[in-house]
Amino acid sequence: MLDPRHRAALDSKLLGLADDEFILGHRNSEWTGHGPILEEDIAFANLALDELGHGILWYRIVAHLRGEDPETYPDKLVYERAAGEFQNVDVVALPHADWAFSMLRQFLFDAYESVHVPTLLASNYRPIAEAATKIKQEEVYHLYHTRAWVQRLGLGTDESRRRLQTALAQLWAPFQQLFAPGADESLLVDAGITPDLRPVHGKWCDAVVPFLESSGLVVPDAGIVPDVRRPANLERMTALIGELQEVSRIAPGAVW
Amino acid sequence: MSDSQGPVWQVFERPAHGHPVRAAGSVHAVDAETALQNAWAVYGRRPTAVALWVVPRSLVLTKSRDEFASLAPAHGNGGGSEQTYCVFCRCGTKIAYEESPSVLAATAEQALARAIEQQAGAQQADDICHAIWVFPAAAIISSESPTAECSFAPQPYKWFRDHKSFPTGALMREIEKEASKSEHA
Repeated sequence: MLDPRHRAALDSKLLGLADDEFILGHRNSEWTGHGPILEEDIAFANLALDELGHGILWYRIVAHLRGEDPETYPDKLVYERAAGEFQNVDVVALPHADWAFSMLRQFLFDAYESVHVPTLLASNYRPIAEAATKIKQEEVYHLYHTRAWVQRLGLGTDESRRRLQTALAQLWAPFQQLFAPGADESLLVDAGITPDLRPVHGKWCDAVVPFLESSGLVVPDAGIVPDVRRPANLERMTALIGELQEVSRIAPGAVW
Repeated sequence: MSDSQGPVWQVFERPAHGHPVRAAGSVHAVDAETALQNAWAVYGRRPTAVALWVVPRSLVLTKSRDEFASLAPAHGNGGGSEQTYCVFCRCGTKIAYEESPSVLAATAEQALARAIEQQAGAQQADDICHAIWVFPAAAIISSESPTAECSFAPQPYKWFRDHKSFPTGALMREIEKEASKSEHA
C-alpha cells in the first residue's frame, strides 16, 4: 500500500484536481441568469454544474484516502476549509471580465481535460481511473460547445475578436500553472498513479495553438510551465471563498 | 435579448430508440451547429431523449384545423420536382406534435394539402388532427446523422431533484428570523 510520503503527495494532488474543477465551476456559475441568450445561459450553467460535479468526484477520493465518509466529506472540504487551504491554480479563480474571457477559459480548460483525463484512465490507483471514466464522457460535449463559441467569437465581429484576443493575453501565462507538478508529484508519476504532465502540456499546445490561430487569434509566445505548482492568490481566494461559504456560515449544517 | 440571439429553430426529440419523433420546443441559435447544441442543452441533457433534430422555423409550414378548409386541393404536381416532406400532427387530446407518415410534394403548400388528405380518414375523436406542420426532410439537422459532428449520448445517470426538494424559501425566512432575533438581543 501507500507509504506516508506517497499518501501525502496523492492527497495534495487530488485536492488540486478537485479544487481546479470546483473553483472553475463556481466562477462560471456566476454567469447563471446573465448569459448572452437564454439557451446559452442554460448550456453554460450546465457546464459549470458538470465541473462542480467533477470536483465532487475528486473530493470523494480524498475522503476515501483519509478514511472519511465520501457522502458528507466533500461538503466539509468546500464549506469548512479556509481560503488559504484551497489548492487550485490562480487562473480558475480569476474573476470574469466578460463573456469572451469566461468562454475562452472554459475552452482552454476543456482542451486540457481532453488530453489530461485520458492519461488518468491508465492510473494504477483505481479510484482515479474510475473518476476519469466518468469525467471523460462529459468533456467530449464540453469541448464541442466551447470550440464552437471560440470559433464564432474569433471569426465574428471586430469587437468579439478583440475581446477574445484580450482574454487570451490575460489567460495564457497563468494557464500554464495547470501543467506544473506539485512538490512531491514525481513520486506519484514514478509509481504509475498520475501521469507526467510534460507530454500532457505538449499535446495541449498542439491542440489549442493551431485552433486558436484558425479562429483568428494571435497566440502569445510558448507558455513557460513553472517548476512547481503554486496556489492561487490568497487575497483573491479570500474574497471568492468568503462569498462561496457565506450562507453555510450563517446556517451551519442546514439541509437544503 | 435583441435579434443577435439568432433565428428560431424548431426542436424535435426521439424519446426512445425505435420510437417516432415528436416536437419538443424551440431554441434560438445563429447557425445549424449551435442550434443542435442549444437544443441538447435545453431539451436533451436529462434522460428524456436519445436523439434530437432541429429545423429552421422559417421552413416549417403550420396550419390549424380551422385553416385547412380554405386551402387549395393537392391536385397536380405544382410544376416542380418533388421532395420528401416530414409531417407532424397534433391529434385528439395530445399536446405534442407527433410524426406522421411523410409525403412527396413539390411545394410546402402541396405537402400540407397531401398531409391533410392523409388525415381525412380519421373517425375517432382521439385521432382527429387539430393542426399540422410540414417541412422538407432535407432541412433536418439531426444528431442521428452519421456525418453529425456531435452525436449526443443520453445521460441516464444524470438526475435532477424536483424544486420542491429544495425548501429554499422557508429556510431563508428562518435564517432571516434568527438573524433579526440576534440583532435585537
